[in-house]
Amino acid sequence: MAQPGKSPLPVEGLYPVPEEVLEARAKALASLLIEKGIVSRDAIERVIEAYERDIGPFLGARVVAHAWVDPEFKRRLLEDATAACAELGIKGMQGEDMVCVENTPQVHNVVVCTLCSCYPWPVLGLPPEWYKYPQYRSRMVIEPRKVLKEDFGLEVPESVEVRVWDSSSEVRYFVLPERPEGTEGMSEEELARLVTREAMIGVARVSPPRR
Amino acid sequence: MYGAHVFPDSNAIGRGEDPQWLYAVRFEARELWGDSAEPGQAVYFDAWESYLEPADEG
Repeated sequence: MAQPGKSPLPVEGLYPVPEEVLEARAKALASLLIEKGIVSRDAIERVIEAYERDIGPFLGARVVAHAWVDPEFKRRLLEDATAACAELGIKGMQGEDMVCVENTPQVHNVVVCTLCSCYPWPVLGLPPEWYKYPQYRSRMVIEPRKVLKEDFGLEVPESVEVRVWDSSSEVRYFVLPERPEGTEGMSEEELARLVTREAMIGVARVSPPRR
Repeated sequence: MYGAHVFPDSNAIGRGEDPQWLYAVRFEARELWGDSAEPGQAVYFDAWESYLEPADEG
């Protein structure tokens, strides 16, 4: 797995609520739903297991690496990401209508959900905590260059256009990052290991391999 | 344009799916934030057809 990128710290105060509170709330909800026979404990366990083990950003990383080595696949991915991901067996909830946007030397894309935390689960798993913070959601549309620089340590040159994709509908966006230099001889599997969740949200670049 | 999508404004209150055309609309940052906007920035926002009004010509 590639190194996780830098994440912004939550702002003290109103939000987010402490983890213990969220955990207690989730447990209370789960036991109520089970007692009332609305869901079974097995079903909850299966979902948790799936998102802990089977679904995560390593799937998106496979898609990105495949697009880097196969120009025809890349063309299909940018045209219809849902269908292209399905070719690799990657599909599911919150990924019924996926759109992949390409970073280039001229354009840097970044994804946000100003309403809540919409996120392409089949390729990226569940969203990181910071993706849900009101600070990220409100500031990313207003001052993306500043947020990228201050919160994520990513400087986007003035010559590069910043495109912010607000997931305001059921369409789920993810970013096809630029392939780093010095990776020409690498296999698809090796390339996939370089691709981070943060790069596919658009808050980081993919770093070249360490020598 | 992304094809027809369930319209949440009616579906969420039990008035049916009322599918509408869905568009990704590009706004230049200056159009949204005025002079305080960062240079070279755009926001793409998905909007159902009934959210949109014809722009003034010219």
